[in-house]
Amino acid sequence: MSCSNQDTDLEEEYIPVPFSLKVPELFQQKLIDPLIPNNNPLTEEGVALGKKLFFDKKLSGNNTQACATCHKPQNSFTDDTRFSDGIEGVFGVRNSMPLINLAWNFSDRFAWDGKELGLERQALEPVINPIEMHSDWSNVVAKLEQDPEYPILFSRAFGTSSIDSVPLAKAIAQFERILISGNSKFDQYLLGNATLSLQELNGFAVFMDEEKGDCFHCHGSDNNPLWTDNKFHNNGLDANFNDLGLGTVTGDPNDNGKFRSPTLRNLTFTAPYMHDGRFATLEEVINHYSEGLQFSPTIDPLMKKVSQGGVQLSVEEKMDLKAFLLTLTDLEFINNPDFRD
Amino acid sequence: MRYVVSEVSLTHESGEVTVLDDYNLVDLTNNEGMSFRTSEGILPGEYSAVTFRFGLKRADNTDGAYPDLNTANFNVPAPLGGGYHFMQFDGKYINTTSAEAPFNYHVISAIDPTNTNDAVDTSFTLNVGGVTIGSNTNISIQMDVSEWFKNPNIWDLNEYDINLMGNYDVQLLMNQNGSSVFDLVSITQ
Repeated sequence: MSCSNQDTDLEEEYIPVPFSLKVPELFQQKLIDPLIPNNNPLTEEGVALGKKLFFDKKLSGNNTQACATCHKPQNSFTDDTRFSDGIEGVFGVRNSMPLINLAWNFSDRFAWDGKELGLERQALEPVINPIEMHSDWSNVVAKLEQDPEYPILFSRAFGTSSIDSVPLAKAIAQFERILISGNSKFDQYLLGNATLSLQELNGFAVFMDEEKGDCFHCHGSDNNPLWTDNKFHNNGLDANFNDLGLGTVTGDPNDNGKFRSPTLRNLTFTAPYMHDGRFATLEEVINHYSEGLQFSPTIDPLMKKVSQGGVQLSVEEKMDLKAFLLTLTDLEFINNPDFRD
Repeated sequence: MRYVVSEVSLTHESGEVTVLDDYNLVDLTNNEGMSFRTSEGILPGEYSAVTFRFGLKRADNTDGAYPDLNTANFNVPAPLGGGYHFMQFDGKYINTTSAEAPFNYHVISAIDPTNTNDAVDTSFTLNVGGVTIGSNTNISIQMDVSEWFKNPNIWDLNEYDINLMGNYDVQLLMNQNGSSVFDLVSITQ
Protein backbone atom coordinates (compact mmCIF):
# COMPACT_ATOMS: atom_id res chain seq x y z
CA MET A 1 0.00 0.00 0.00
CA SER A 2 1.31 3.42 -0.81
CA CYS A 3 0.13 6.83 0.12
CA SER A 4 0.39 9.92 -1.95
CA ASN A 5 0.03 13.56 -1.06
CA GLN A 6 -2.42 15.27 -3.41
CA ASP A 7 -0.57 18.56 -3.22
CA THR A 8 2.71 16.85 -4.10
CA ASP A 9 1.09 15.27 -7.15
CA LEU A 10 -0.03 18.70 -8.32
CA GLU A 11 3.30 20.45 -7.80
CA GLU A 12 4.80 19.84 -11.22
CA GLU A 13 8.33 20.81 -11.94
CA TYR A 14 8.33 24.57 -12.43
CA ILE A 15 9.96 25.26 -15.78
CA PRO A 16 8.10 28.20 -17.32
CA VAL A 17 8.74 28.83 -20.98
CA PRO A 18 9.25 32.48 -21.95
CA PHE A 19 6.47 33.77 -24.16
CA SER A 20 7.57 35.20 -27.47
CA LEU A 21 5.56 38.37 -27.88
CA LYS A 22 4.52 39.02 -31.47
CA VAL A 23 5.49 42.67 -31.86
CA PRO A 24 4.32 44.12 -35.19
CA GLU A 25 6.98 45.34 -37.56
CA LEU A 26 5.94 49.00 -37.29
CA PHE A 27 6.01 48.82 -33.50
CA GLN A 28 9.53 47.44 -33.66
CA GLN A 29 10.56 50.29 -35.93
CA LYS A 30 8.77 53.15 -34.23
CA LEU A 31 8.24 52.40 -30.55
CA ILE A 32 10.27 51.53 -27.52
CA ASP A 33 9.98 48.04 -26.10
CA PRO A 34 6.72 47.19 -24.32
CA LEU A 35 6.42 47.46 -20.57
CA ILE A 36 6.75 44.02 -18.99
CA PRO A 37 7.20 44.14 -15.21
CA ASN A 38 10.15 42.24 -13.82
CA ASN A 39 7.96 40.52 -11.26
CA ASN A 40 5.56 39.23 -13.92
CA PRO A 41 7.46 38.20 -17.05
CA LEU A 42 5.46 36.71 -19.90
CA THR A 43 5.48 32.93 -20.00
CA GLU A 44 3.59 30.42 -22.11
CA GLU A 45 2.07 28.98 -18.98
CA GLY A 46 1.15 32.35 -17.50
CA VAL A 47 -0.49 33.55 -20.69
CA ALA A 48 -2.42 30.30 -21.07
CA LEU A 49 -3.66 30.49 -17.50
CA GLY A 50 -4.54 34.14 -17.92
CA LYS A 51 -6.53 33.44 -21.05
CA LYS A 52 -8.49 30.67 -19.35
CA LEU A 53 -9.25 32.92 -16.39
CA PHE A 54 -10.22 35.84 -18.66
CA PHE A 55 -13.01 33.76 -20.19
CA ASP A 56 -14.05 31.95 -17.00
CA LYS A 57 -17.33 32.89 -15.38
CA LYS A 58 -16.22 31.36 -12.11
CA LEU A 59 -14.64 34.72 -11.32
CA SER A 60 -18.12 36.16 -10.78
CA GLY A 61 -20.27 35.65 -7.72
CA ASN A 62 -23.00 33.68 -9.49
CA ASN A 63 -20.89 32.22 -12.29
CA THR A 64 -22.60 34.24 -15.01
CA GLN A 65 -19.93 36.70 -16.02
CA ALA A 66 -16.30 36.63 -17.01
CA CYS A 67 -13.91 39.42 -17.93
CA ALA A 68 -14.80 38.58 -21.52
CA THR A 69 -18.45 39.39 -20.88
CA CYS A 70 -17.65 43.11 -21.03
CA HIS A 71 -14.44 42.74 -23.03
CA LYS A 72 -15.45 40.66 -26.01
CA PRO A 73 -12.86 39.68 -28.62
CA GLN A 74 -15.25 40.43 -31.46
CA ASN A 75 -15.60 44.00 -30.15
CA SER A 76 -11.87 44.51 -29.84
CA PHE A 77 -12.20 43.58 -26.17
CA THR A 78 -14.89 46.02 -25.23
CA ASP A 79 -18.63 45.54 -25.61
CA ASP A 80 -21.27 47.23 -27.73
CA THR A 81 -23.29 48.88 -24.99
CA ARG A 82 -23.02 52.32 -23.51
CA PHE A 83 -22.66 50.93 -20.01
CA SER A 84 -22.21 47.37 -18.83
CA ASP A 85 -24.29 45.62 -16.22
CA GLY A 86 -22.85 43.39 -13.59
CA ILE A 87 -24.21 40.14 -12.26
CA GLU A 88 -26.86 41.93 -10.19
CA GLY A 89 -28.12 43.81 -13.24
CA VAL A 90 -26.71 47.10 -11.97
CA PHE A 91 -25.18 49.27 -14.68
CA GLY A 92 -21.90 51.11 -14.31
CA VAL A 93 -21.31 54.72 -15.34
CA ARG A 94 -18.39 54.28 -17.65
CA ASN A 95 -18.08 52.68 -21.05
CA SER A 96 -16.03 49.48 -21.14
CA MET A 97 -12.55 50.27 -22.48
CA PRO A 98 -11.11 48.23 -25.35
CA LEU A 99 -8.04 46.20 -24.46
CA ILE A 100 -5.51 46.98 -27.17
CA ASN A 101 -1.73 47.36 -26.98
CA LEU A 102 -1.81 47.81 -23.23
CA ALA A 103 1.84 46.86 -22.89
CA TRP A 104 2.75 50.18 -24.48
CA ASN A 105 0.90 52.29 -21.95
CA PHE A 106 3.98 53.63 -20.22
CA SER A 107 2.02 55.75 -17.79
CA ASP A 108 0.92 52.37 -16.42
CA ARG A 109 -2.33 54.03 -15.41
CA PHE A 110 -5.44 52.25 -16.60
CA ALA A 111 -9.17 52.90 -16.80
CA TRP A 112 -10.65 56.09 -18.14
CA ASP A 113 -9.57 57.99 -15.05
CA GLY A 114 -6.20 56.35 -14.54
CA LYS A 115 -7.17 55.01 -11.14
CA GLU A 116 -5.66 51.57 -11.74
CA LEU A 117 -1.89 51.56 -11.40
CA GLY A 118 -0.72 48.62 -13.43
CA LEU A 119 -2.60 45.84 -15.17
CA GLU A 120 -2.09 43.50 -12.23
CA ARG A 121 -3.97 45.89 -9.95
CA GLN A 122 -6.67 46.57 -12.53
CA ALA A 123 -7.48 42.87 -12.85
CA LEU A 124 -8.37 42.64 -9.16
CA GLU A 125 -11.04 45.31 -9.02
CA PRO A 126 -13.87 44.02 -11.23
CA VAL A 127 -13.95 40.66 -9.45
CA ILE A 128 -15.00 42.20 -6.16
CA ASN A 129 -16.82 45.26 -7.44
CA PRO A 130 -20.51 44.96 -6.39
CA ILE A 131 -21.76 46.36 -9.68
CA GLU A 132 -19.50 44.16 -11.76
CA MET A 133 -18.60 40.54 -10.98
CA HIS A 134 -19.51 40.92 -7.31
CA SER A 135 -17.54 38.04 -5.93
CA ASP A 136 -14.99 37.77 -3.17
CA TRP A 137 -11.59 36.16 -3.30
CA SER A 138 -12.35 33.32 -0.90
CA ASN A 139 -15.26 32.35 -3.12
CA VAL A 140 -13.19 32.56 -6.30
CA VAL A 141 -10.27 30.65 -4.84
CA ALA A 142 -12.53 27.88 -3.55
CA LYS A 143 -14.11 27.42 -6.95
CA LEU A 144 -10.79 27.35 -8.75
CA GLU A 145 -9.28 24.94 -6.27
CA GLN A 146 -12.14 22.54 -6.90
CA ASP A 147 -11.53 22.68 -10.63
CA PRO A 148 -9.48 19.73 -11.90
CA GLU A 149 -7.27 21.93 -14.09
CA TYR A 150 -6.56 25.16 -12.25
CA PRO A 151 -4.20 23.89 -9.54
CA ILE A 152 -2.05 22.31 -12.21
CA LEU A 153 -2.14 25.43 -14.38
CA PHE A 154 -1.17 27.65 -11.45
CA SER A 155 1.64 25.27 -10.61
CA ARG A 156 2.97 25.41 -14.16
CA ALA A 157 2.69 29.18 -14.34
CA PHE A 158 3.90 30.20 -10.89
CA GLY A 159 5.52 27.19 -9.31
CA THR A 160 2.78 26.55 -6.78
CA SER A 161 -0.67 25.01 -6.92
CA SER A 162 -1.75 27.39 -4.18
CA ILE A 163 -4.26 29.78 -5.68
CA ASP A 164 -4.87 33.35 -4.60
CA SER A 165 -5.66 36.72 -6.11
CA VAL A 166 -2.08 37.77 -6.74
CA PRO A 167 -1.04 35.07 -9.23
CA LEU A 168 -4.55 35.15 -10.66
CA ALA A 169 -4.23 38.84 -11.47
CA LYS A 170 -0.72 38.33 -12.78
CA ALA A 171 -1.93 35.68 -15.17
CA ILE A 172 -4.76 37.83 -16.48
CA ALA A 173 -2.33 40.73 -16.93
CA GLN A 174 -0.02 38.48 -18.92
CA PHE A 175 -2.86 37.55 -21.25
CA GLU A 176 -3.87 41.17 -21.66
CA ARG A 177 -0.33 42.15 -22.61
CA ILE A 178 -0.38 39.85 -25.63
CA LEU A 179 -3.48 41.55 -27.05
CA ILE A 180 -1.59 43.41 -29.72
CA SER A 181 -3.22 45.09 -32.69
CA GLY A 182 -0.92 46.28 -35.45
CA ASN A 183 -2.14 44.90 -38.75
CA SER A 184 -4.65 47.38 -40.11
CA LYS A 185 -4.92 48.62 -43.66
CA PHE A 186 -3.02 51.75 -42.66
CA ASP A 187 -0.25 49.69 -41.10
CA GLN A 188 0.06 47.79 -44.36
CA TYR A 189 0.05 51.08 -46.26
CA LEU A 190 2.98 52.32 -44.18
CA LEU A 191 4.79 49.08 -44.91
CA GLY A 192 4.20 49.53 -48.62
CA ASN A 193 1.78 46.65 -48.90
CA ALA A 194 -1.51 48.48 -49.35
CA THR A 195 -2.92 51.48 -51.17
CA LEU A 196 -5.19 54.09 -49.65
CA SER A 197 -8.04 55.70 -51.55
CA LEU A 198 -7.94 59.42 -52.23
CA GLN A 199 -10.62 59.90 -49.60
CA GLU A 200 -8.61 57.99 -47.01
CA LEU A 201 -5.49 59.99 -47.84
CA ASN A 202 -7.43 63.23 -47.59
CA GLY A 203 -8.75 62.07 -44.25
CA PHE A 204 -5.24 61.38 -43.01
CA ALA A 205 -4.29 64.87 -44.11
CA VAL A 206 -7.16 66.33 -42.07
CA PHE A 207 -6.04 64.25 -39.10
CA MET A 208 -2.48 65.55 -39.33
CA ASP A 209 -3.24 69.18 -40.12
CA GLU A 210 -2.80 71.53 -37.16
CA GLU A 211 -5.29 73.91 -38.74
CA LYS A 212 -7.92 71.29 -39.45
CA GLY A 213 -8.54 68.20 -37.37
CA ASP A 214 -5.29 68.44 -35.41
CA CYS A 215 -5.99 64.98 -34.09
CA PHE A 216 -2.33 63.97 -33.97
CA HIS A 217 -1.45 65.94 -30.86
CA CYS A 218 -3.48 63.50 -28.74
CA HIS A 219 -4.06 60.52 -30.99
CA GLY A 220 -0.71 59.64 -32.53
CA SER A 221 0.48 59.60 -36.10
CA ASP A 222 2.14 57.47 -38.74
CA ASN A 223 5.18 57.54 -36.43
CA ASN A 224 3.23 56.60 -33.32
CA PRO A 225 1.25 53.49 -34.24
CA LEU A 226 -0.39 53.35 -30.83
CA TRP A 227 -2.77 56.07 -32.10
CA THR A 228 -3.00 57.48 -28.61
CA ASP A 229 -0.74 59.46 -26.32
CA ASN A 230 -2.11 57.56 -23.31
CA LYS A 231 -2.44 60.88 -21.51
CA PHE A 232 -5.40 62.58 -19.90
CA HIS A 233 -7.32 65.42 -21.49
CA ASN A 234 -10.52 67.35 -21.04
CA ASN A 235 -11.79 67.21 -24.62
CA GLY A 236 -14.68 69.58 -24.16
CA LEU A 237 -17.52 67.14 -23.63
CA ASP A 238 -19.22 69.08 -20.87
CA ALA A 239 -19.43 72.55 -19.41
CA ASN A 240 -20.31 71.03 -16.06
CA PHE A 241 -19.10 67.63 -14.93
CA ASN A 242 -21.08 64.78 -13.50
CA ASP A 243 -17.90 62.70 -13.71
CA LEU A 244 -14.63 64.28 -12.61
CA GLY A 245 -12.50 61.62 -14.26
CA LEU A 246 -8.82 61.96 -13.38
CA GLY A 247 -9.76 64.62 -10.84
CA THR A 248 -11.51 61.97 -8.77
CA VAL A 249 -8.24 60.05 -8.54
CA THR A 250 -5.77 62.86 -7.97
CA GLY A 251 -8.00 65.22 -6.01
CA ASP A 252 -6.53 68.06 -8.05
CA PRO A 253 -9.25 70.35 -9.43
CA ASN A 254 -7.03 70.98 -12.45
CA ASP A 255 -7.63 67.33 -13.41
CA ASN A 256 -11.40 67.55 -13.31
CA GLY A 257 -13.05 66.35 -16.48
CA LYS A 258 -9.91 64.73 -17.85
CA PHE A 259 -10.03 61.24 -19.30
CA ARG A 260 -7.45 59.05 -21.00
CA SER A 261 -7.11 59.33 -24.77
CA PRO A 262 -8.23 55.97 -26.13
CA THR A 263 -6.57 54.35 -29.10
CA LEU A 264 -8.21 54.99 -32.44
CA ARG A 265 -7.58 51.43 -33.58
CA ASN A 266 -10.57 49.27 -34.35
CA LEU A 267 -13.21 51.97 -33.96
CA THR A 268 -15.42 49.86 -36.21
CA PHE A 269 -15.84 47.45 -33.32
CA THR A 270 -15.65 49.67 -30.24
CA ALA A 271 -18.75 51.87 -30.41
CA PRO A 272 -20.19 53.64 -28.49
CA TYR A 273 -17.50 56.21 -27.81
CA MET A 274 -16.15 58.38 -25.01
CA HIS A 275 -15.84 57.56 -21.31
CA ASP A 276 -19.61 57.43 -20.96
CA GLY A 277 -20.40 56.01 -24.36
CA ARG A 278 -22.46 59.05 -25.27
CA PHE A 279 -21.65 58.93 -28.98
CA ALA A 280 -23.06 55.98 -30.87
CA THR A 281 -21.31 56.74 -34.15
CA LEU A 282 -18.06 58.13 -35.44
CA GLU A 283 -20.04 60.87 -37.12
CA GLU A 284 -21.15 62.06 -33.70
CA VAL A 285 -17.57 61.99 -32.45
CA ILE A 286 -16.31 64.01 -35.39
CA ASN A 287 -19.19 66.46 -35.08
CA HIS A 288 -18.29 66.94 -31.43
CA TYR A 289 -14.76 68.03 -32.27
CA SER A 290 -15.99 70.06 -35.22
CA GLU A 291 -18.85 72.03 -33.63
CA GLY A 292 -19.71 70.58 -30.26
CA LEU A 293 -16.95 71.57 -27.84
CA GLN A 294 -18.08 72.80 -24.43
CA PHE A 295 -15.90 75.22 -22.48
CA SER A 296 -14.95 74.40 -18.90
CA PRO A 297 -12.11 75.73 -16.76
CA THR A 298 -9.98 72.64 -17.31
CA ILE A 299 -10.58 72.22 -21.02
CA ASP A 300 -7.38 71.20 -22.76
CA PRO A 301 -5.62 74.05 -24.59
CA LEU A 302 -5.39 71.71 -27.57
CA MET A 303 -9.15 72.18 -27.96
CA LYS A 304 -8.06 75.40 -29.58
CA LYS A 305 -11.25 76.39 -31.34
CA VAL A 306 -13.52 75.97 -28.35
CA SER A 307 -14.77 79.56 -28.73
CA GLN A 308 -16.18 78.53 -32.11
CA GLY A 309 -17.40 75.20 -30.88
CA GLY A 310 -14.61 73.30 -32.56
CA VAL A 311 -12.40 72.94 -35.61
CA GLN A 312 -15.22 73.58 -38.08
CA LEU A 313 -14.64 70.82 -40.60
CA SER A 314 -16.54 70.77 -43.86
CA VAL A 315 -18.91 67.93 -44.66
CA GLU A 316 -16.36 66.47 -47.05
CA GLU A 317 -13.54 66.76 -44.51
CA LYS A 318 -15.65 64.90 -41.96
CA MET A 319 -16.35 62.08 -44.37
CA ASP A 320 -12.72 61.88 -45.36
CA LEU A 321 -11.62 61.82 -41.73
CA LYS A 322 -13.98 58.98 -40.97
CA ALA A 323 -12.69 57.07 -43.97
CA PHE A 324 -9.14 57.42 -42.70
CA LEU A 325 -10.09 56.32 -39.18
CA LEU A 326 -11.61 53.16 -40.58
CA THR A 327 -8.26 52.26 -42.15
CA LEU A 328 -7.08 51.57 -38.60
CA THR A 329 -9.35 48.53 -38.46
CA ASP A 330 -7.50 45.30 -37.75
CA LEU A 331 -9.57 42.25 -38.65
CA GLU A 332 -6.72 39.94 -37.75
CA PHE A 333 -6.89 41.16 -34.17
CA ILE A 334 -10.55 40.45 -33.59
CA ASN A 335 -10.36 37.07 -35.30
CA ASN A 336 -7.12 35.89 -33.76
CA PRO A 337 -7.77 32.43 -32.28
CA ASP A 338 -5.00 33.01 -29.74
CA PHE A 339 -7.19 35.72 -28.24
CA ARG A 340 -10.42 33.71 -28.16
CA ASP A 341 -11.75 31.09 -25.86
CA MET B 1 5.21 71.94 -21.36
CA ARG B 2 7.68 69.56 -22.96
CA TYR B 3 10.88 70.32 -24.81
CA VAL B 4 13.89 68.50 -26.12
CA VAL B 5 17.54 69.40 -25.62
CA SER B 6 20.38 67.71 -27.39
CA GLU B 7 24.14 67.71 -27.78
CA VAL B 8 24.84 68.52 -24.13
CA SER B 9 28.56 69.09 -24.27
CA LEU B 10 31.47 70.07 -22.10
CA THR B 11 34.48 71.72 -23.67
CA HIS B 12 37.68 71.05 -21.72
CA GLU B 13 40.22 73.83 -21.49
CA SER B 14 42.37 71.68 -23.77
CA GLY B 15 39.70 72.03 -26.43
CA GLU B 16 38.47 68.45 -26.19
CA VAL B 17 34.67 68.25 -26.38
CA THR B 18 32.71 65.61 -24.50
CA VAL B 19 29.09 65.06 -25.53
CA LEU B 20 27.14 63.85 -22.49
CA ASP B 21 23.84 62.88 -24.01
CA ASP B 22 22.30 62.61 -27.43
CA TYR B 23 19.01 64.22 -26.47
CA ASN B 24 16.72 64.50 -23.52
CA LEU B 25 12.98 65.13 -23.45
CA VAL B 26 12.11 67.39 -20.55
CA ASP B 27 8.48 66.95 -19.50
CA LEU B 28 7.45 69.52 -16.94
CA THR B 29 3.84 68.40 -17.00
CA ASN B 30 4.71 64.92 -15.79
CA ASN B 31 7.94 65.84 -14.00
CA GLU B 32 9.98 63.52 -16.20
CA GLY B 33 13.35 64.05 -17.81
CA MET B 34 14.09 66.92 -15.44
CA SER B 35 17.61 65.71 -14.94
CA PHE B 36 19.99 63.20 -16.31
CA ARG B 37 23.17 61.69 -15.05
CA THR B 38 26.03 60.62 -17.18
CA SER B 39 27.84 57.38 -16.70
CA GLU B 40 30.61 58.61 -18.90
CA GLY B 41 33.90 59.30 -17.26
CA ILE B 42 34.41 63.05 -17.31
CA LEU B 43 37.95 64.21 -16.71
CA PRO B 44 37.97 66.49 -13.64
CA GLY B 45 39.25 69.93 -14.34
CA GLU B 46 38.44 73.22 -15.91
CA TYR B 47 35.94 73.41 -18.71
CA SER B 48 35.55 76.55 -20.73
CA ALA B 49 31.99 75.89 -21.83
CA VAL B 50 28.86 73.90 -21.08
CA THR B 51 26.68 73.96 -24.14
CA PHE B 52 23.50 72.33 -25.29
CA ARG B 53 21.16 72.62 -28.20
CA PHE B 54 17.51 73.52 -27.84
CA GLY B 55 15.74 71.15 -30.20
CA LEU B 56 17.40 68.85 -32.71
CA LYS B 57 19.67 70.06 -35.45
CA ARG B 58 18.54 69.38 -38.96
CA ALA B 59 20.80 66.40 -39.50
CA ASP B 60 19.43 64.75 -36.35
CA ASN B 61 15.80 65.78 -36.75
CA THR B 62 14.96 62.71 -38.80
CA ASP B 63 11.33 61.84 -39.14
CA GLY B 64 10.33 58.88 -36.97
CA ALA B 65 13.91 58.03 -36.08
CA TYR B 66 13.65 58.01 -32.29
CA PRO B 67 11.38 55.39 -30.71
CA ASP B 68 11.18 57.13 -27.36
CA LEU B 69 10.10 60.42 -28.93
CA ASN B 70 7.62 58.57 -31.14
CA THR B 71 6.19 56.80 -28.12
CA ALA B 72 5.98 60.17 -26.37
CA ASN B 73 3.91 61.41 -29.33
CA PHE B 74 6.31 64.28 -30.03
CA ASN B 75 6.21 64.03 -33.82
CA VAL B 76 5.72 66.78 -36.37
CA PRO B 77 3.56 65.97 -39.40
CA ALA B 78 5.34 65.48 -42.70
CA PRO B 79 3.71 68.52 -44.39
CA LEU B 80 5.39 70.66 -41.73
CA GLY B 81 8.78 69.12 -42.31
CA GLY B 82 8.43 65.97 -40.22
CA GLY B 83 10.85 65.21 -37.46
CA TYR B 84 10.02 66.34 -33.96
CA HIS B 85 8.75 69.26 -31.99
CA PHE B 86 11.39 71.27 -30.18
CA MET B 87 8.84 72.38 -27.63
CA GLN B 88 5.16 72.01 -26.86
CA PHE B 89 3.97 74.74 -24.53
CA ASP B 90 0.20 74.80 -24.06
CA GLY B 91 -1.82 77.00 -21.78
CA LYS B 92 -4.44 79.70 -21.53
CA TYR B 93 -4.47 83.48 -21.45
CA ILE B 94 -7.02 86.22 -21.01
CA ASN B 95 -7.66 87.78 -24.40
CA THR B 96 -8.77 91.27 -25.34
CA THR B 97 -12.41 90.32 -24.78
CA SER B 98 -11.53 89.25 -21.22
CA ALA B 99 -12.24 85.65 -22.11
CA GLU B 100 -10.02 82.72 -21.33
CA ALA B 101 -8.45 81.47 -24.54
CA PRO B 102 -6.00 78.68 -25.32
CA PHE B 103 -2.52 79.00 -26.72
CA ASN B 104 -0.29 76.36 -28.27
CA TYR B 105 3.25 77.72 -28.38
CA HIS B 106 4.75 74.87 -30.37
CA VAL B 107 8.29 75.31 -31.60
CA ILE B 108 9.48 73.30 -34.59
CA SER B 109 11.91 73.79 -37.42
CA ALA B 110 10.52 76.61 -39.52
CA ILE B 111 9.07 75.74 -42.89
CA ASP B 112 10.40 77.97 -45.62
CA PRO B 113 7.32 79.09 -47.58
CA THR B 114 9.42 79.47 -50.74
CA ASN B 115 10.40 75.82 -50.54
CA THR B 116 8.00 73.73 -48.46
CA ASN B 117 10.04 70.65 -49.14
CA ASP B 118 12.78 72.04 -46.99
CA ALA B 119 12.77 73.01 -43.35
CA VAL B 120 14.83 75.83 -41.93
CA ASP B 121 16.79 74.69 -38.92
CA THR B 122 15.68 76.87 -36.05
CA SER B 123 17.26 74.82 -33.31
CA PHE B 124 19.94 76.77 -31.49
CA THR B 125 22.84 76.19 -29.16
CA LEU B 126 23.40 77.84 -25.84
CA ASN B 127 26.57 78.27 -23.85
CA VAL B 128 25.96 78.64 -20.14
CA GLY B 129 29.58 79.29 -19.39
CA GLY B 130 32.60 77.59 -17.88
CA VAL B 131 32.59 75.12 -15.02
CA THR B 132 34.96 73.25 -12.79
CA ILE B 133 34.26 69.52 -12.92
CA GLY B 134 35.01 67.50 -9.80
CA SER B 135 34.15 63.99 -8.73
CA ASN B 136 30.42 64.67 -8.38
CA THR B 137 29.40 67.90 -10.05
CA ASN B 138 25.80 69.00 -10.47
CA ILE B 139 24.96 71.64 -13.04
CA SER B 140 21.53 73.20 -12.69
CA ILE B 141 19.99 75.11 -15.57
CA GLN B 142 16.61 76.80 -15.49
CA MET B 143 14.20 78.13 -18.07
CA ASP B 144 12.55 81.50 -17.56
CA VAL B 145 9.31 80.81 -19.37
CA SER B 146 8.41 84.48 -19.59
CA GLU B 147 11.36 85.09 -21.91
CA TRP B 148 9.54 83.19 -24.65
CA PHE B 149 7.08 86.05 -24.66
CA LYS B 150 9.28 89.11 -24.45
CA ASN B 151 12.89 89.00 -25.43
CA PRO B 152 13.57 90.46 -27.95
CA ASN B 153 10.09 90.12 -29.44
CA ILE B 154 7.14 91.20 -27.32
CA TRP B 155 4.56 88.50 -27.87
CA ASP B 156 0.92 89.29 -28.34
CA LEU B 157 -1.01 86.08 -27.79
CA ASN B 158 -4.09 87.77 -29.21
CA GLU B 159 -2.22 87.75 -32.49
CA TYR B 160 -0.20 84.55 -32.19
CA ASP B 161 -1.87 81.95 -29.99
CA ILE B 162 -2.82 78.87 -31.97
CA ASN B 163 -1.86 77.19 -35.23
CA LEU B 164 1.72 78.41 -34.98
CA MET B 165 3.58 75.34 -36.20
CA GLY B 166 3.19 76.13 -39.87
CA ASN B 167 3.74 79.86 -39.48
CA TYR B 168 7.26 80.48 -40.78
CA ASP B 169 7.55 84.04 -39.51
CA VAL B 170 6.30 83.10 -36.06
CA GLN B 171 8.77 80.25 -35.82
CA LEU B 172 11.57 82.72 -36.53
CA LEU B 173 10.27 84.98 -33.76
CA MET B 174 10.24 82.03 -31.39
CA ASN B 175 13.78 81.20 -32.38
CA GLN B 176 14.86 84.72 -31.51
CA ASN B 177 13.08 84.72 -28.17
CA GLY B 178 14.54 81.36 -27.22
CA SER B 179 18.09 82.61 -26.94
CA SER B 180 17.52 84.16 -23.50
CA VAL B 181 15.26 81.64 -21.82
CA PHE B 182 17.93 79.45 -20.25
CA ASP B 183 20.23 80.43 -17.42
CA LEU B 184 22.82 78.65 -15.36
CA VAL B 185 21.45 78.47 -11.84
CA SER B 186 24.13 76.73 -9.89
CA ILE B 187 27.10 74.45 -9.96
CA THR B 188 27.56 72.30 -6.89
CA GLN B 189 30.29 69.86 -6.06
